[in-house]
Amino acid sequence: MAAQATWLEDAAAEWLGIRINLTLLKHESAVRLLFEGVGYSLALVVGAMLATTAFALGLAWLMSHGPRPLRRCIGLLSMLGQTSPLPLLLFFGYVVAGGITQYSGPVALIAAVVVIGFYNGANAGRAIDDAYRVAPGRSFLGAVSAAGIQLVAFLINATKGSPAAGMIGVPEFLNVMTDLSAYSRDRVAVYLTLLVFYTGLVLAVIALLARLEARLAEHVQRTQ
Amino acid sequence: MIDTLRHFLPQLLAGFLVNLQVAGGALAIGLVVGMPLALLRQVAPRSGRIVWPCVRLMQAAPVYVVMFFVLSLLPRDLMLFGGHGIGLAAVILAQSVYMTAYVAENGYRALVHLRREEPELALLFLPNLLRGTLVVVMSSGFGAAIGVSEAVSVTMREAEKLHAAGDRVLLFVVVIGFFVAVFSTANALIGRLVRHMMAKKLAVTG
Repeated sequence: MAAQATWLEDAAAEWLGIRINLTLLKHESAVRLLFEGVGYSLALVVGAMLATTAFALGLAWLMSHGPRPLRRCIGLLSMLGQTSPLPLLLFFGYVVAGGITQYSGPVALIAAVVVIGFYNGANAGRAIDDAYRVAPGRSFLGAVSAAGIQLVAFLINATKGSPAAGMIGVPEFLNVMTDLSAYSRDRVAVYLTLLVFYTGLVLAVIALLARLEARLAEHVQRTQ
Repeated sequence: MIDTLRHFLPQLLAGFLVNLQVAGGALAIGLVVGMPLALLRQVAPRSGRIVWPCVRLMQAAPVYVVMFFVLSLLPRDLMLFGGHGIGLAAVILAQSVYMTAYVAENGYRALVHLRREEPELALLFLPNLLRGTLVVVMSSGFGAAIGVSEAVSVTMREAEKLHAAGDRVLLFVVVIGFFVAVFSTANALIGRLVRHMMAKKLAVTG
């Protein structure tokens, strides 16, 4: 990897006339940490999206089909998710997870996935429940399709919120890069790389969700 | 615990004022940059080919990462907001990226309604703006990661002083309760405003 990094530095200087510093890629341990960070980031995005979907469907189902006392409790729970700041919920998750078990990278990852999923799922679940109430004869899947735009918006929000998991010690890409470049002079380039990585990730998720949403709408139309 | 809460609550309120400051700053920048973008799209539709991909990119950029990027751009010796402003400036600028995209999109919709002579629907821009501001207040807690003394950061500092896990959880429950009360009241007021506007529209259209 060190040889390739040196070759890239030389090529950029020779062909493009720009000097780039790829010192990070010349150390095996740093490269390993970077790949681990990318792995954690991808796991976070996938986990946060799955958790958001699960919370949204679960809360919406209970709010629309459960017995009245349970509906009230779930309504209050979803209000809590809708009106609490994500950073505060993340720290709350950190305190609770730290109280239950030995805090580590994977534990932080699970805590972050649950919190981000709950925060976004509460909002999306409320939208599905509203869509269900507006048309009483509608099937639950029909309500999910009708609230598709909101569900997609909160899935995108979950992806956008995933780097914030670094606040509670998840060793994802941003956290790893921040640590590795702590003494680097070229921090602007480091953060520009991060910005491109995360924005690209969000754009990829948006494209994927647009396809899924179209397929769901098609399926609901065919079944009705 | 009661003693802890007694001296903590004024700190929480002071921290919350910082959250409001962030939202106010981001809203001001969002209006100044976002409205001309919406106007440009309305007046010169072809400009949308350049402006709209930029707005989409601004919407896709995670605020938390933008905050670190802005922080790396700002000079370390920047003196703002009484001397410790670099973190605060980074949070405001990061949030203003989101707010600019939000204003540009909602502002454009309001202009379309105005062109169709639907002033009541165009006025929905105001409650939407309030909603966007609430989102910024809620996510301004990201500033805790770069040492901004806002409500979440103040809460974390207080929690670190407490030894028992139960006391920490209780502290968080109190703070979450505070936010739930503030934001559910604000959401209810916005909902009332929207209903009032829609009732007015129905009265006008008969």
